[in-house]
Amino acid sequence: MEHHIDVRDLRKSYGAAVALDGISFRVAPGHVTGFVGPNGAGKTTTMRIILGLAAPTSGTATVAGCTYREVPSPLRLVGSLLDAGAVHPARRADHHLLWLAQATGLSRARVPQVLEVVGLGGVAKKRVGTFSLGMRQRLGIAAALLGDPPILVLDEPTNGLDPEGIWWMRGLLRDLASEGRAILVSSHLMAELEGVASHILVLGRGRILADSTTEELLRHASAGRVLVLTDHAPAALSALAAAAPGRVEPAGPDRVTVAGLTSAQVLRVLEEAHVPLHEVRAYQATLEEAYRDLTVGSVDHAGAGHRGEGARP
Amino acid sequence: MTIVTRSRTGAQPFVALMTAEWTKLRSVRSWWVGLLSSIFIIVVVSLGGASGSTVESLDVTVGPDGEAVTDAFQFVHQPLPGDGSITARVGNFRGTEPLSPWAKAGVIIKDGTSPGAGYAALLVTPDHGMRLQSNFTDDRYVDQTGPADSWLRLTRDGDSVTGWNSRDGRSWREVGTVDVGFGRGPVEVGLFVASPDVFRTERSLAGSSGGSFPTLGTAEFDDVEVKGVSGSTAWASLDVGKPSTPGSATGEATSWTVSGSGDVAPLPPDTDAVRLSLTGVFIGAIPVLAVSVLLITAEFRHGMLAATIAAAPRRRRVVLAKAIVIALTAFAATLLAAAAAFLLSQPILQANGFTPPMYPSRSLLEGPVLRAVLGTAVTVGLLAVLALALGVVLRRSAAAISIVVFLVVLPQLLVAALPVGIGRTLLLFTPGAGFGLQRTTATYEHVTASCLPEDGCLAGGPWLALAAPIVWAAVGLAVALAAIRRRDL
Amino acid sequence: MSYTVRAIRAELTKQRTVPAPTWLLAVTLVALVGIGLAVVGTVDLEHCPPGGCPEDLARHSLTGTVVAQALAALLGVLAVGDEYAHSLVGTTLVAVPRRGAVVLSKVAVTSLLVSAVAVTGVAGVYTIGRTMAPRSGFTTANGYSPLDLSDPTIQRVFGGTVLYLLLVAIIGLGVALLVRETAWATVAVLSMLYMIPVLTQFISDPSWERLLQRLSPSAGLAIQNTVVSANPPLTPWAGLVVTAAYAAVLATAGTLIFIHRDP
Repeated sequence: MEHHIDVRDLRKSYGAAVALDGISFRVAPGHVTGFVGPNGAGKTTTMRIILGLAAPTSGTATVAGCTYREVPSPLRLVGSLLDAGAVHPARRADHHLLWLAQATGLSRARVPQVLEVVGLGGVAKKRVGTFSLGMRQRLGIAAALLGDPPILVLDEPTNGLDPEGIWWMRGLLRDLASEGRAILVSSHLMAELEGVASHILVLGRGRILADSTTEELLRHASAGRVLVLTDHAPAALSALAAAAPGRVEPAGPDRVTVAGLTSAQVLRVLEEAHVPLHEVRAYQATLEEAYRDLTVGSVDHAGAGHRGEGARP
Repeated sequence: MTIVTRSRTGAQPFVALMTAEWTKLRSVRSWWVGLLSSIFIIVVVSLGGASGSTVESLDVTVGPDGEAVTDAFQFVHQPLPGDGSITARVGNFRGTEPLSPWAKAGVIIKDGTSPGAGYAALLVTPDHGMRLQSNFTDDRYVDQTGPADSWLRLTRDGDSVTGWNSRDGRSWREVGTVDVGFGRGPVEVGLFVASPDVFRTERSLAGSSGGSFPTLGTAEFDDVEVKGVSGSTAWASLDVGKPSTPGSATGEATSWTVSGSGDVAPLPPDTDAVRLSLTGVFIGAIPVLAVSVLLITAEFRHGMLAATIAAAPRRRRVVLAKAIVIALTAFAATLLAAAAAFLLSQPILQANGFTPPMYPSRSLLEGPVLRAVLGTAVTVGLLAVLALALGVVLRRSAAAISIVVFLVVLPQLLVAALPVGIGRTLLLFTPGAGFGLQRTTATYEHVTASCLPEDGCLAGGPWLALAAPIVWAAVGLAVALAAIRRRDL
Repeated sequence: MSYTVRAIRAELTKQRTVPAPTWLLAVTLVALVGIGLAVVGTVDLEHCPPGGCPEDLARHSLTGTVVAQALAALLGVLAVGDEYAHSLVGTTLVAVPRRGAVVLSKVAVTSLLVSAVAVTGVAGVYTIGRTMAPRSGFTTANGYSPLDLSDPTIQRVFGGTVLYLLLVAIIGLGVALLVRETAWATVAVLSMLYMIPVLTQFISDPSWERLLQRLSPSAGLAIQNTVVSANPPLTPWAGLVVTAAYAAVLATAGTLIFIHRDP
């Protein structure tokens, strides 16, 4: 069974504004594919097109070879979470899942099962209007899992979750992927995907900036840099800057990274400058840094506030 | 040092709150569209109403003051060259069933026998006692009439006519003097009977139609005595004007049996031309009322109220500020629309036959018209407060909008299916009662005119109409203020 | 189960699991029966000349339709508007991606609910008309025949009322699909239903009045006429056709917009 998501040359423009400028990618089964990019990069638009909620200007998006609208029982093929707020506040949680189950011909016994999976078993009969954002997010996940689908499309699923919830979500995503599902998870915070996504798609200004495995991306971002831990970061900075102009960066109050010098060369420079240090080792970049390197220049509204709900782990 | 006025709690001054609410109202495009569409609908629908209404220009009798009158009755008369008097006993007043409660039998001094001429009359009616009436519009209650006969007397002294009545024909009581204005010249004096058509209203959901049915009244006159005539002048009888049924008179000298149809009274128009030029308000008010509801429900929905309340810690002041802002806005928009609708409708109505004397040309600034236009605007302003209050209490825009529309529009429609008396009273208690102020047709106690509640003819007259919307708005606001303070957001 | 049947089941659950539709249906029932009770109880035949007024008992007893129609229309508005209000349209379309099936399920469920309540309400009104009207003077002695469901005219009046309410609910649905906003859809629907009846109360030119009555979305109320005047603006069935035309045009336009515009 081939349960891919396939996106080919997708374009979407709203009048003169181009939201997606010809993107192509493929989400393979058995992996969590992270879909990252700044706010407004086009992540949600792409997901809406995959789910048939928006028509592309050109190009195609298919799930298991069909466009979403052709799928006879869509919730059995694709589970999705776009907007956790999209629930009727006066409806009970179990009723919300019940109509979804009926719409796709699922047994009503699935409802309590998925509510247990997401930890909402105890509030099944409560009105959704009384739920916190985190609980609504869990309800959204429950709806996505309702049809036990081989494909999952989740837009910012950790929004509004507390640290415990985020930890739970990461575990859930890993488990779902290990069962062989194709999972596309978007986030505007790369750090959230660290240790979960084995494949990363970086979107900026409607274009794919990177499409690679997480390992590769990190290797590329760390490329030959050396990390220096020292209590005298300013002194180290100036000493190294003299040896490798323009390739030295502060990385924290007690650390500095250098590119273009080997560890031995760094040690020698600092010894000569009499800068005490704790450690010199090969630098391991974080996803966040890899992402920052890629998206510099592709942020539409730099300086504008992030959606505040996202909590970092 | 500059002193800034602040309340003890440190909240903003109330004016600042109102300015903030005005800014909010002004900054939502769909709300502006709502306000403008209200103005547009009021004007366009009113003009449609005016265009869709025509009256045939009837040959209307004109009274001494230029007003439209009905002047048709059976008149047994003789000339009276100068001052003098007439005395008669009237009794056994009967007629077709049903006889109009305002059928008239009595003595009259009239400036000739042509319809519309000035007169003074002392008369009895089946249901409204004895009356002294003159020149159509003047009507005074004199006495009750019992089962026994009544003696009536009118004495003329130039322009003045004085009425007298008696229970026994011996002791006389002066009941009043009226100034008729026929100078010192010759007039006609005599006995008369008139019985107006009876209106019957058929009720159906499509509206109501009034049918009128002719009646004929008959009275016996005895002891007829005329003073001031030279020698014995012969009596003559005729129908003045065109009564629905021809009358008749038999008798001689002092004893007569007179049957007559018709009426001697002002003729109010069937249609209120001012109200007709404001018909768009019932429907046109709906968008404004919807904006009033949304002013608060949109905040509930978008969670903006938390921000508003944070900016103004006392919730009740916020609701009050909203109420004042929307009331003034609704008032201003409606005033503009109603004035425009009235002014633009006038030429259309005139072209459709709404012409003097029945429909005198009206100016926006004359009393009843100004009352109609201002009353309409005030009513919509009060309804806007009610709509806002419903929004606060119900928190659901569709529910609040529907209820306020039901309260305003449905009584107007449903009242046509209820008996007229019940309808006139019930409508008075609905918030839309204020639109009763649109009625400008003068009402006369002695005229049985079509007075249907859906035409704005409510129990208690125009001004009482404003009581209901005031009470609805006040009670609504009070409940809303209590609700907003008690509830969690 | 077929695709559309599943969508209908889901829509029925949606309507059942929020309070507003239940309330609306209950109030519709109360309006039909309660107003019928009030009108039949207070109608006054005393002013009528011998021979009786041409009072239309069947139509009178159904006066509550004037209110019930708005509530039925609101049910249609809310079936769509509530989803836009809470961004649920996306959720619905993810579960049922074929737009046509979504509209069809909403039309089917709204029709089902409105018909069920209309049939109940009309049956209640019929019972009131049969038992109470004689006490208000509608007796055989006074020249009124009692309501009788075997009479084809009475069948047309009461059955037609159910059809009319159903069509009005679909008008509400169509308007909401076009407007996508509960509040303004409510304004539009209520204005449509009440504008012309209010206006014809004021205007006096018979040809205008006839024209407006023929164009009115509420022209279908003519189905309730039993005492037919010599030259009515609309025959009962022609009136219902006018309302049906509004429902068809608005629902079609709404569906096309729904299919071709991104939610």
